[in-house]
Amino acid sequence: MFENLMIAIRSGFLTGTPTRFKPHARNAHGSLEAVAANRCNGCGVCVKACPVNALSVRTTEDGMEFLFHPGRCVGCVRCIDACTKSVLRFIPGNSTFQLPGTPDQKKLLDLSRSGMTSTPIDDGALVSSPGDNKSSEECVSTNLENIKFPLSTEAYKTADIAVLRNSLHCRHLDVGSCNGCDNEMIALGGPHYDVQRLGIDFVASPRHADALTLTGPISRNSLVATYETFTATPKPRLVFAVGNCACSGGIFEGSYAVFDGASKVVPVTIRIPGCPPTPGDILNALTEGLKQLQTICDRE
Amino acid sequence: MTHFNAVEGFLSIWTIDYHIENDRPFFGRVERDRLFCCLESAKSELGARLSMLTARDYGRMNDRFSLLVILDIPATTSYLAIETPLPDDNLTYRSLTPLFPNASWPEREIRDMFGITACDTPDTRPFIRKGAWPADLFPLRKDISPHRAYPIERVLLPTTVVEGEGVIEVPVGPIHAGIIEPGHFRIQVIGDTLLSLDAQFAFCHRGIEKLAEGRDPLGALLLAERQCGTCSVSNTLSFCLAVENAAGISVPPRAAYIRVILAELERLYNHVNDIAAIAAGIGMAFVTQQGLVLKEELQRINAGFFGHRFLRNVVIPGGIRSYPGIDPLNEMVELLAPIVRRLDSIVAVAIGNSIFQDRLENTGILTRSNANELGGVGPAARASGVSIDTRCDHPYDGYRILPGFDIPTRHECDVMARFRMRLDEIPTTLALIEAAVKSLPVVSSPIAATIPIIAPGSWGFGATESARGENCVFIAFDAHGRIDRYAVRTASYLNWPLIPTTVRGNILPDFPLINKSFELCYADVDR
Ligand code: SF4
Ligand code: SF4
Repeated sequence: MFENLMIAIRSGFLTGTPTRFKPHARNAHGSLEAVAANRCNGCGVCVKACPVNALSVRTTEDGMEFLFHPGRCVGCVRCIDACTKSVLRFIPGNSTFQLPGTPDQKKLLDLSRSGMTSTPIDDGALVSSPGDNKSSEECVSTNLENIKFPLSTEAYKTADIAVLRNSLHCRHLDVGSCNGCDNEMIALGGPHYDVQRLGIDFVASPRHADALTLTGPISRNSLVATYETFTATPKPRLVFAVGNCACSGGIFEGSYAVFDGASKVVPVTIRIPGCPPTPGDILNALTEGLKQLQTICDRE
Repeated sequence: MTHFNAVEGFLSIWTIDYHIENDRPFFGRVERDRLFCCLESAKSELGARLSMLTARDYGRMNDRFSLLVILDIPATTSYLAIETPLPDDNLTYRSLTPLFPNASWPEREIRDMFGITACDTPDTRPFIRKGAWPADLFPLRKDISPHRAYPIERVLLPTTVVEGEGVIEVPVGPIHAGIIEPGHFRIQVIGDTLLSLDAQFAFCHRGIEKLAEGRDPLGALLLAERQCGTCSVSNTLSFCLAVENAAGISVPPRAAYIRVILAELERLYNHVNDIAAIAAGIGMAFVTQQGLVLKEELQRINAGFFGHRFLRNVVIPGGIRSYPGIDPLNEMVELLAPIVRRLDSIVAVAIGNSIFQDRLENTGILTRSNANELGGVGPAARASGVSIDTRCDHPYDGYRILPGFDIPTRHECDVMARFRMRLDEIPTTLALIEAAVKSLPVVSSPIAATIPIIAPGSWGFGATESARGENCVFIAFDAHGRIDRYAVRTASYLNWPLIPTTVRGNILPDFPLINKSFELCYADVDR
């Protein structure tokens, strides 16, 4: 007994504040930034290097624009390795969640009006997603035939979110994740993050939950389970898409065995990009995201 | 050498043709009708263990399909790959389950994915197909697009039925109470006592094997890394070994040592996690929470020194992408020792607790013969007295060059043995990390070999020891150096069938505990 206490005392106070975890708690990737935009010559090797089309190029009237899609980037750092001018860098711990209505891309580099002549990038690099010919509605039969996917979006009202009163009970739903995201969510329960002190808890049944935290792209094998869990959750039900897989299908996008992200099946409230997002990112999204959601609702 | 000759003799008797090359698995082709007898003799004469059973579709007009069996020959450090062409008009073969009980799952999977049927197999239920595609469609065939959506139907699988007065069935999952991966269990109990367990998987099936087809090694690397979060290094390493095996190259020494460090760091945080998870299985919050603290600190070390909490993005085909340098690595070694000391003091509290002892001891006995028969691997098998470890049996990368290390085994076979097994392995892990850092060449030599253009039709095999056991990868390339078949068989896939043998006679609340003492991943089984 005393030994327990001694160990507990010796381990000290570990818990960090949600928005400020030490950089070493994070993966080396966070949000991709152009730290030296002036060096960019628009060669586009980064776009070609990206295996998941998280970088794209848009040609405007007088130049080009590089766009970055955080919900797709798996943090493989190949773009950074490919860039000969060291333009790009990941700013650790800068990744943020995405609320409904936020564009899923951000401007990384704007070479318009820079007078820079750019080498045209062949279209091969900008392949559209291979999942294009998939439509989630046509493909559901037996038992689920009268249901239209994605399930309809519910409008959230301030009252809905206020009713949570800083007490968010989540039901975790693993629908095809690699368990990286799940492990980071388990870490949330540990002393370094300790979600419970913030009123957040992971509950055993969807019937006790205010929110579903979804990891994985939603495998087609688990559609029924997803559907039933979602409908068993009382309203107002929020859905957090944790990780790139849940945001966009991630690396599995376009596979015959998955839906390309949670939004193809259920209405997603907040997307948390990252592969996997670190526990700090998830915690930040669960607390800050909810606050911002309320502000949005207030405005509307 | 005698074992080598024995294998050669065996191959010359049974195969149509065979190849023996250095540093590659033995390879032989066997006629379909002789396959069963051939394997029977391999089992009895060479003591072979089934490592992998899968199939290939060559996508051509004739002789399209073949069956691929990869055996571990314990007496040699090599594997034996046997390919069996199947006649186009009759895609069946004699079930191998009577010979190797762990062939049952792959046989069901091959039926789902290729439409190749095992005759007289005891279990004919689908394994991977849980409604994501119709029964007459076989996703791993070459004429099926990986990017199509197929109609979903609800499939309810029949389960093992136990009947009798007072017998009830408890269905659990696929959505579990905690933050756990999805699996569906049917547990039959009488009173509080477990009678049998039927586990169903594939809720995480993402089609990784199919998605990898047509990609180059670097493209498929991402899939290998993301097959399972906590076995990321091991899966990636198996993948890279297979690619290097196919390309016929070996990695530079610096990369070989760094790979050992990575693999051991992964083992370390996994073992700490498992220790915490077992304590969670009996609700011993103190140990669980302290374990989570240590795991988090280890993952922060991973992120701090290698840039990723799950050590992704470091291992690449041919070597490694980057590493922090020798001085930081020495610093890292110093950080690890205190963490392990703290772990010891926490575990001492757990082991000294009478409830802890009571719940863990004599719970979930995995008998040695079951572990052997079912081909168990990893710490679970070692805790039942089976001395099996890919790092020793089939050394790869730095494990070939590092001085010998002990692989501890235990003989109590229960949950406690599996708990202690992890503890026993940690000193080895630390010693390996230390030795690898010490042996790192100071001179600046390359850290990755370039992968040459891979000869058409070549194939490779790689096996590594993850925190859960042997992870194998088979890769074959097509005429353009792109992946034609990527087949994975992970430790979880081999060890899951062990669990039902251990639960009978235990009480229902012990099931989560037993399950956690194996701590297997579902994502690795489902792919
Ligand atoms: S780090 Fe992200 S943006 Fe860069 S190549 Fe990888 S996935 Fe693409
Ligand atoms: S986002 Fe990345 S870590 Fe999370 S489940 Fe998907 S592959 Fe795994």
